[in-house]
Amino acid sequence: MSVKIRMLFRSHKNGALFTIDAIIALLAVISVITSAFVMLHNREYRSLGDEAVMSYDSLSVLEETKALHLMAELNDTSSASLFLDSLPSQICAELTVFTQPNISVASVKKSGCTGSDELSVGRSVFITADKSTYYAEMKIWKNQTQSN
Amino acid sequence: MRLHDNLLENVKNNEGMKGSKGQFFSVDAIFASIIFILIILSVQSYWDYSMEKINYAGSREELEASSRNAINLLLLSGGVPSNWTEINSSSFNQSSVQSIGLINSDQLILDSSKIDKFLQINTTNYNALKNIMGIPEKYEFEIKFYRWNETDYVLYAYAGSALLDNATDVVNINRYAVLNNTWMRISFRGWEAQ
Repeated sequence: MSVKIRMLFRSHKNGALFTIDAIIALLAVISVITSAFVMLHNREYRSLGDEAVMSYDSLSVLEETKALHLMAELNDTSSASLFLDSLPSQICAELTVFTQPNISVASVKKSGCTGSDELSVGRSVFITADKSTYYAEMKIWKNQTQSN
Repeated sequence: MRLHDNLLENVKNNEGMKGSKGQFFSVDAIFASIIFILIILSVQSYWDYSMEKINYAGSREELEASSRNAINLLLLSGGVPSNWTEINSSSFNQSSVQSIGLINSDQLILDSSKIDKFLQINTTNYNALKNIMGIPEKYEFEIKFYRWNETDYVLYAYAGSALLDNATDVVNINRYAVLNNTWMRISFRGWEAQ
């Protein structure tokens, strides 16, 4: 790399030396320090633990109160829909019941919710009165319209 | 040789050099020193900020952990001994009751008699209740049981110490459970007073 040196001389005064290398190095140091500060300052401590717990709680409650059974056997989503709509406004949820991991029987989503890329998923297995096995999947995510 | 002698003579005659020590002083050095001092000051202030943040996070973590443990014990266990509801309120302490739980067998399926006893001990011996729930002395808790009435969750039971205005830190946890085939929302608050 070629180095251009510019020397400023003033008669009988102190000398000053500026080089492009020094300026580039200075800019690099400043940008690294600024980036580090910005990155550290904006660091978010996020946890999806609460949503995960809520999804498992919901599945247990809906299973115990037979809402999942109604979905599986009669395709009746009214009870589950009521439960999802009663969740806190900042929470969105979608519940799906499957006969096998990829065959959906019934699905219900909380009113006014759109999808999200960041969600927490809880799954459980339950058995109906006729001894059929079903899978329930509860997806929970933050309601973007509420948080904005 | 003549040139050398002339140079030597010039240096000797230079008034600026007489009796003074030599020193190196440049704009570069000043510039570098200022940057160095700025960096040191910035690092120091960020260090102080980070330490404060870490200390707060540690304290917050303790409150969160104890709150989560307490609500988990209540909703996922029956307590030890399982017949803790039969122990007299006056002799209710950590040696007679190791832990408190509000269910009988299935997790999240609440037992109304255990809730009643829990509320009773809360009014007579709140501190013992707090200790048994594993909440450190410096923190307080508040728990509200809401019951679904087909249209909304309404307050069913309340225990603990009401949140004060001077609370410095609050942890809110919402859980769902079932009581007599009805949905329940349990709002637990762990908090620290000033």
